[in-house]
Amino acid sequence: MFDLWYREHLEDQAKTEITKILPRLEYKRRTSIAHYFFSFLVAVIAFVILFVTHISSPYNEDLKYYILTFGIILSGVLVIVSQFLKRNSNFIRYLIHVHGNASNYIKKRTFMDPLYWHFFTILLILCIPLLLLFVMTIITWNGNSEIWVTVGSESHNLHVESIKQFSSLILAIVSAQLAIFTFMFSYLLGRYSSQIVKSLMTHHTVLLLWAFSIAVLLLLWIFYLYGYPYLIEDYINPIFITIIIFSLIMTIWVCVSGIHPEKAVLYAGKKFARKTRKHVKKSTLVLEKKFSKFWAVFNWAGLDWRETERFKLYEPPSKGLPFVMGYLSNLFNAAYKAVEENQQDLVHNSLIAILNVLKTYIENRKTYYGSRDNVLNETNDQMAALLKATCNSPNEHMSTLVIRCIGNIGLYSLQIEERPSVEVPNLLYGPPPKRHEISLLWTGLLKEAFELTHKLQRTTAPYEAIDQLKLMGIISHNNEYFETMATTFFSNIMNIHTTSVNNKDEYHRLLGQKCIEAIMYIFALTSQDSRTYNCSIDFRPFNQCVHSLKRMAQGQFLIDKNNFTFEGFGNILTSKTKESQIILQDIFYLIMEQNVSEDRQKSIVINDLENLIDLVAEFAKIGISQGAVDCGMFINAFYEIAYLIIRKSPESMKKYECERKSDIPVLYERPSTQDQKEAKIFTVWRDLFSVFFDKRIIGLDWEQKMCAILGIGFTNINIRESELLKNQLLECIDLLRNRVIKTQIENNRNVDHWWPYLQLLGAWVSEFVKESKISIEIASEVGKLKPFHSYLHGYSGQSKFEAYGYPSVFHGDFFIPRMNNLMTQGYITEKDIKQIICWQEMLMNEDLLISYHKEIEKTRSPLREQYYKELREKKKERNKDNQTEEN
Amino acid sequence: MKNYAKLIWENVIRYSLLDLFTSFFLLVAMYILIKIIFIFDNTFRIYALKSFKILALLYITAILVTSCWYHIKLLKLLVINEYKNKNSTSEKNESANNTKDERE
Repeated sequence: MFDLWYREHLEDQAKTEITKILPRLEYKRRTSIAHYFFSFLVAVIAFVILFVTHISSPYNEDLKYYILTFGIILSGVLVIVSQFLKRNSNFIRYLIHVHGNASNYIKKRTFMDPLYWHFFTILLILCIPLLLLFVMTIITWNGNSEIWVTVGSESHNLHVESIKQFSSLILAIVSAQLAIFTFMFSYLLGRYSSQIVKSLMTHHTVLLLWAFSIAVLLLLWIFYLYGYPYLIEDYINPIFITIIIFSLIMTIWVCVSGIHPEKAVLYAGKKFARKTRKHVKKSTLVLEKKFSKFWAVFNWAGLDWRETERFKLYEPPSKGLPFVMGYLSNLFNAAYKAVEENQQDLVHNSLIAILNVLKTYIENRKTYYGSRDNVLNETNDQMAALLKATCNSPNEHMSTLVIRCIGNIGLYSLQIEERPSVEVPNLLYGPPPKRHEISLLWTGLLKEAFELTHKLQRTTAPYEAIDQLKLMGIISHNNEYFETMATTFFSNIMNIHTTSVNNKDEYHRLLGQKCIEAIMYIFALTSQDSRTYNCSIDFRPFNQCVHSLKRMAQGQFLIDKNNFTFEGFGNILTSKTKESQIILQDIFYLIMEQNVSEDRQKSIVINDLENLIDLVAEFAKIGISQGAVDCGMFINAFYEIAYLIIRKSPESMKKYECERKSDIPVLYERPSTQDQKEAKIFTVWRDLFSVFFDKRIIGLDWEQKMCAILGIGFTNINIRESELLKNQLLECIDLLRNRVIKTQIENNRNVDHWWPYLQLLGAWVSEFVKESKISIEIASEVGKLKPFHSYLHGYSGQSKFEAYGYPSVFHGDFFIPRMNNLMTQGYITEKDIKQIICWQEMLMNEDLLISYHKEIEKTRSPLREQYYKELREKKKERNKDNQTEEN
Repeated sequence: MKNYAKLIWENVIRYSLLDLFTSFFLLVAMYILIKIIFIFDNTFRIYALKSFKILALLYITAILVTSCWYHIKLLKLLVINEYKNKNSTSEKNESANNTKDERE
C-alpha cells in the first residue's frame, strides 16, 4: 500500500512540477512565433512597397528615380526599425499580448460558430469581385461605345444568349440553396428544436450567400437589359462561369458544415444570448443615480424615454422574460432529445448553450435586486428533470455534465443581490449576515444530484457535485452570504458526508474525504477574517467550519477504526501529502500570521487559535475513544502547533504588547498574548496526556512528541519575562510524575517506558528551572521505583545515553522531532532550524545528563546492589533445592 | 582583451548571426513564393526579383547597422564602467592614504 501511495505521490509531484514549467515554455513558444511573424510581416510589407514602386516608376519618366528612391528609403527604414524592435522586449511582449487576444477571440468564435470562416471566405472570394463588377458597371453606366456596350449592339447580341443561360443557372442555384438550407437543416435539426433551425437558417453566412446569388442575378439582368462595361466584354463567360462554380462550392461547404447538430446548438445558444441581451434590458440604476452617457444627454434635453419597467428595483422587466424562457425551453428540448438518443456531445453543447443564455441574462438581471427569479426557478425545474433523465441513461457520464452546468448556474446566480448593500462604518464588526435565496435552489439541486448519482457505478458525478458545492461555498464566502453558508452549504456538505460514511466502501470513503477537503478549503478562507458579527445565531464561517468538522469527525472515525490508510481522517486533516492539501497546521499558521492591530481583533485571533487547539485535542480524544488507527497524527499536529506557539509571537502581536505596557494605570492587567497561548497549549497537553496515558497507547511515538513540547518549553524559559511558562511546565511534569508513580505503585500495568522520560524531565528541571528540590525528588523516585529489570524494552546498544537510563527513540537518543508539515510549507526558515539544533544541544547536553544520572545513582546503586544480592541469594537457594532434590 | 571579446560575442555578434540566419530563411521563403506567384508572368517576375534583390541588400545593411549600434552602446557602457572603477579605486587609495597619514 505504501508503495502505491508513494508512486501516486511522485506522480502528483511530477504533474505539479510540469504544470509550473509549462507556462514558461508556452511563453517561449509564443515569443518565437511573435518574433518570426513580425519579421515576415515587415519583409512582406517592404517587398510590396518596393514592388509597387518598381511597377509604377515606368509610367512616369520624370519622377522615375524619385519614386524608386522613395520606395527604397521607406522599405529600408521599415527593415531597420524592425531589426531594432525585434530586440525590444516590451514590443515583443505587446505583440504576444495582441497575438494571444486575437487567437483567443478566433478560437472562441470558431468554437461557437460553425460558419465562422465561411463568411470571410465568401466575402473575399465572391463578394469583393462582385462588388468591383458592380462599381465598374455603375461608373461606366450608359457611357460612350468605348466604355459601355449598349443593348442591340453586335457585341451584346453575341453574349445575350450566354447571359440568359447564366441567369437561369443562377436562378437554379438560388432555388437549390433555398431547398438545401431550409429542407436539409429543418430535416436534420428540426427534431431538436425549430428555433435552432431558424437561427441557423438566418445565419449571416447563409444570408450573405443568398444575397450574393441574388446580386449576381441582378447584375445579369442589368447586363441583359442595359448592356455591360466594355472592359469585361471578352471576359463575361469566364467571370460568370467562375462565379457559378465558386458559388456552388460555397453552398456545398456551408451545407456540410451547417448540418452538425452539436455546432448548430452552440450557435443557437450564442444567438439566443444576443437576443436575451436585447430583450432583458439593464436597470436604470435608480439607486446609484447613474446614467449612461447616451441617456445623460437625452435626459438633459428632457427626452428620458427609457422603458418604465427598467425603473423597477427588485425584479427585471417582465416583457423580456417570456423570450428568455422560450429560448431556454428550446435548448432544453434539444438536451432532452440528445439524452434520449444518448448523444453526449450534443448534451454537452446544449448545456453550454443554456449557460450562455443564462450568463447573459444574469449579467443584465444582476442590475436589479430580489430574492426570486422566475427564469431561474423554471430553469431549476428543467435541470432537475434533465438530471433525472441523465441518471436513467445508460451513459452515466452525462450526469456529470449536467451537475457541472447546475453548479455554474448556481455560481452565476450568486451575482444577483437580494438588496442594496449597506455600508458598514466600523470594519471591526463584520457586515450583518446576508441571505441569498436564489442560490438555495441550486445548492439544493446539487445535493439532490449527489443523492441520485452516488449509487451509480460509471460516473464521477458525485465528486462533481461536491466540487460545485465547494465552489459555491467559496463564492458565497467572498460575497459574505454567511447566513446562506450556515444554513445550506455546511448542512449540505455534512449530509453528503453522512451519506458517504453510511455506505461503508472505498468509493464512499473517498467521497467523504472530498467533503472534508471542501470544508478545509473554506476553513482556510475563513481563517483570514477576524471580524465579529452582530447576530443572535453564530453565523461566523470560522465557527461554522469548526462545528462541521466536529460533527463529521464522529462518522469518519468509525470508518477509520482498525483500518489505516493515507486517506484517513487524521491524515487528511494533519498530514501534508500534496502541495495543494490544506491541513490544520496551515490554518493555524494563517491565523497566527494575521496582521492584527486592534484590541478586539487580537482577542478574536487568540480565541480562534484556542478553538483550533481544542479542535485538534478533541479529534485526538475522539479518535482514541473510537479506536481510530491514525489518531497519533493529531498528536503530531498538536506538537507542530505547540512549536509554532512557543518559538515566538508574530511581530504585530509583539508591537501591541509593547504599547500595552505603557498604558497604565489599568484595573486588570491582561496576560500577554504569548502567555495566553502557552497557557492553552499546556492545559491541553495535560488533558491529552491523561487521556492517552489512561488508554495505554503504546507505539504512536506520542511520548516523544509530548516530551519534546516540554523540552522546547524548557529551552525558552529564560527568555520569557513572566513565570507562566515555568509554572505550566512544572504543572505538566507534576502530572506526568504523579500518574507514572501512582500506576507503578498500584502495579496496575507496565509503565516501564515512562521512567526514562521522567528521568530526562528531571534533568531538564535541574538545568533550566533551577528547582533543585523537585529535580532531587524526581531523581530519588526514579532511583527507587524504576524497575531494575524490564520486559518492555531492551538496550539497543546504539544510543549514547540509553545506558544511563534515558529514553531511546528509533534506536538512538531522544531528539526534537522534525516538523515535516511545517518545513515543506516554508513556515520554518533556516534560522529556525539552527535554533532547533541549538535547543537539541541544550536539551541533550552530556554534562547535564551524566551529572543527573549520578544524582539518581546515589539512591539507585545501593538498591541495585541489594536487588542483585537478593537475586543471587535466591538463585543459590534454588540451586541448593535442586541439588537436594537430585540427591 | 579576452573578456572584451567575450562581451562582444555575447552581446553583438551572437545576435547579429541570429538575425542573419532569420533573414536568410525569410528571404529564401520569399524567393520561393515569388517564383510560385509569378510563374506565368514574366514582366512582373522581373520587377519582383529586382525588388527582392534590393530587399536582401536592405536586410544586410540593417543587420550591419544594428550590430554597429549595439557595439557602440556596449563600448559606451564599458568606458563608463572603467571610469567608475578608476574613480572608486582612486577614492579608496585616497582614503587609505588618509588613514595611513592619520596613524602616522
